[in-house]
Amino acid sequence: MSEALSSRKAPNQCETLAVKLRLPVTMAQPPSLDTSFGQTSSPNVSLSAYEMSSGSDGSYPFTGKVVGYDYEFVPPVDGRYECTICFGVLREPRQTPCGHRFCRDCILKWLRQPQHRCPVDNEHLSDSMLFPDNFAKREIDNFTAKCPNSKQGCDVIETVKRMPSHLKECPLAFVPCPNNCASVLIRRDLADHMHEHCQNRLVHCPDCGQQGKAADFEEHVQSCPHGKVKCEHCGEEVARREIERHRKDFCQKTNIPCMFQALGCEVQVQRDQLDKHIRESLTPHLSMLCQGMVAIMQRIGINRLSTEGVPLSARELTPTEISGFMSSLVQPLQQLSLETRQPQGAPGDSRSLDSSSVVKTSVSMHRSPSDPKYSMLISSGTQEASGFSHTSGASDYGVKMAPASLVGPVSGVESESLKSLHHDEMLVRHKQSLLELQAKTETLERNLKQKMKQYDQQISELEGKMCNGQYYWRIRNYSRYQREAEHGQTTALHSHPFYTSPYGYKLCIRANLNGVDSAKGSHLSLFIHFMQGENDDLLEWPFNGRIVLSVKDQNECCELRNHVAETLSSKPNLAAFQRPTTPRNHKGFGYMEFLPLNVLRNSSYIRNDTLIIKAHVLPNG
Amino acid sequence: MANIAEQRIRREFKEVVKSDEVAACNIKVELVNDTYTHLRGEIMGPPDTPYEGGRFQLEIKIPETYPFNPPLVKFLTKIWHPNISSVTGAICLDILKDQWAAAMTLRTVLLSLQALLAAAEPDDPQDAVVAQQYKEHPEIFRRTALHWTSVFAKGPKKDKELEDKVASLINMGFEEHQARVALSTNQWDLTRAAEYCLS
Repeated sequence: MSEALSSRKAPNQCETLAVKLRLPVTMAQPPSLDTSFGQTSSPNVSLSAYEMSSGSDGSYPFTGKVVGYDYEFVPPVDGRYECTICFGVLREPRQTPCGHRFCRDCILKWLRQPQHRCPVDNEHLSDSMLFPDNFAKREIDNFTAKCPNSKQGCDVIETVKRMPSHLKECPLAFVPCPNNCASVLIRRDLADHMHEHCQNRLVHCPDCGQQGKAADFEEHVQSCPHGKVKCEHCGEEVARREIERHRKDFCQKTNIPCMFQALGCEVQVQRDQLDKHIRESLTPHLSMLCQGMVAIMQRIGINRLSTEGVPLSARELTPTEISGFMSSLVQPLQQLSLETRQPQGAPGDSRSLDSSSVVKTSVSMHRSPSDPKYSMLISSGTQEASGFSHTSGASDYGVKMAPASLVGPVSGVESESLKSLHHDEMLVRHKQSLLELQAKTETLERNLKQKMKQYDQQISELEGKMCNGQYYWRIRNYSRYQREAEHGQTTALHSHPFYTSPYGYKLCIRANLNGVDSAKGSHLSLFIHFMQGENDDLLEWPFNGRIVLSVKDQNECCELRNHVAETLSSKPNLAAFQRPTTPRNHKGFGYMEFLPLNVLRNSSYIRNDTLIIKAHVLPNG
Repeated sequence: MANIAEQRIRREFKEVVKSDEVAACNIKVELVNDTYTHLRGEIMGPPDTPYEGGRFQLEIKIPETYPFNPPLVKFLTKIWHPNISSVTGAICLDILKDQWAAAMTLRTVLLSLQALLAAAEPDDPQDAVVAQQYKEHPEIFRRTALHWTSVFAKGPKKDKELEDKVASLINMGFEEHQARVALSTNQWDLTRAAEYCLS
């Protein structure tokens, strides 16, 4: 026996036991097997095993709406195999003590009515008096019938037992489009539909590469920012998002105003005609330029420019005139200070400090008007200032001339700048303290998270200790794990550890959602692994006792719940039951074929995407 | 319609159509709509009864919960019978109520109704007036039932005397059906029937 078991070792060194209790065929295995797995021969288990095999036909969700087989049987089926409730051929036949047969769901539903009588002869009847008629079931399983898709042209004739697997692949079966487009198609045409016609299929936009539903594609093409559109002026094809810029800056045929617009030229020409216009209108443009120049000079009080470029009139500047200039410079300076402050706005920008220091230096320069750099500072201020420095020459002449009078207006600038400096400093300080606080909260948060994690672990550890050997394992996000298992990313899941008692054995459950080895892709595999625990020194090894593994049916209707439970007994010679030498014993013990995956999927074992597995560990003595 | 109900009715329908009783023109079922929820039945009046030779139309409605609950059946053809309302056609029959069993079918229901016509249960009446007449004036009951069968169910035997009485009441200015009900209720006594009509 044990040799047979060890030959089933999984590649991951697990001692996996394929106990095919669930199939009626193996129910008839030699008694030695039964005794080695404890209660496998108990009526409860045999019933559940029976139920399992019934589910394995893959078409039997426990909805209470399923009725007998509605196939067209060839040759026609004798009336005695028909359920007198649904008139179909018996599915999961149940017999009454008065000798009548019904589909399991039909008779259970009938007995849920107030009357507890046989539907045929009114004999008293209750759920518990029903028993499975496996003789009839086996006969019916071998009846042959036409594929229900024969109307669509499928000429397959199959046994009742194998019909579900044929239907899963029948090329002429009606199937809903998996893209949820509400179409129902013959499976043969499905691929074509999904690639060519489905409104919900994903298509790539050739222009922007984005993916979207085919139904929305037309609309997308009309608005794709990368789609090409024709410029209505020059006819060039430009990406939709570029068209505005194209019109504004590039299109040769768009009308644009002459560059002398600001000086009074009101002509609008196509871009490619602008050069021509400039060439042709030299004279008017020159006169506009001249007028503009004169106007500006008047504005700043210059009557004439000397040929050397030194303003003749500069000598005539009075202190009041200079102060007038200075005050007209205040505005640009303020603007300047605003501009230098702006980069500070960007959080975490290291330059913010530098820029405030720029303001500082600029202020310090203000303070020493005799500094030769003074005029340069002003020139760096604004365009207007540069004009001034130019007219006053590179010399410190203008400054020297009336240092006292400069103090007045400049002090106005200074106070403004000082104010802004003060603001800047404040800002920097706030920023600094903000960063410090942020760092502090982050540390706190990290610590808190660590603590929480620690507590969570302690709580689950405690939970595991207090469960007294009855551990419920909820696998949430079942579908995600199942997918990962199918793709081979995470094939095995382990539960939190739990103890048989506060001072008992430490174990965990392993679930291979997509099965292992020979059960891969067909069954859920469940195993128990022993773990190194605090009490190992106190305990007896190898472990001696029984373990009940079960998958809970979460059907809303309590009567329809079919929990699947299996009991296994420890075998002292197996490595799985020895004292673990690693944190978790590599060798586990359990069932490779605990539950067929199609049963799991088509029933209420999974609700809210959660699978509940229970382990009950009962040490002997 | 629930899966199970539809499958049942589809198969039952086939069963009734090819049954011996249909062959003998005793019972008949037709579809009223395509969804098997509403059917029209017909039974032949059983021999050696006042209903002999009559054809009685039935309305059959199949509930969602069929066959776990009985079909809803009533007579469309007016009939004079202790267990069937002469006004509404409602039927008092245990198998259409608490004695329904899931193994019963449209065919067995129609045959049971035929049996009901042959053997009334005056102690469990639907129409108290008819039941009283059945018990106290069996001969008058028989003639009334026969008359109703000939008038409403195309029964072959006519009762000249009763028809004349209806005619004379009509001549007095009463409406035909009102006159017939009044006479039937009052053991075909013209004076009392006239008073009944006026009250």
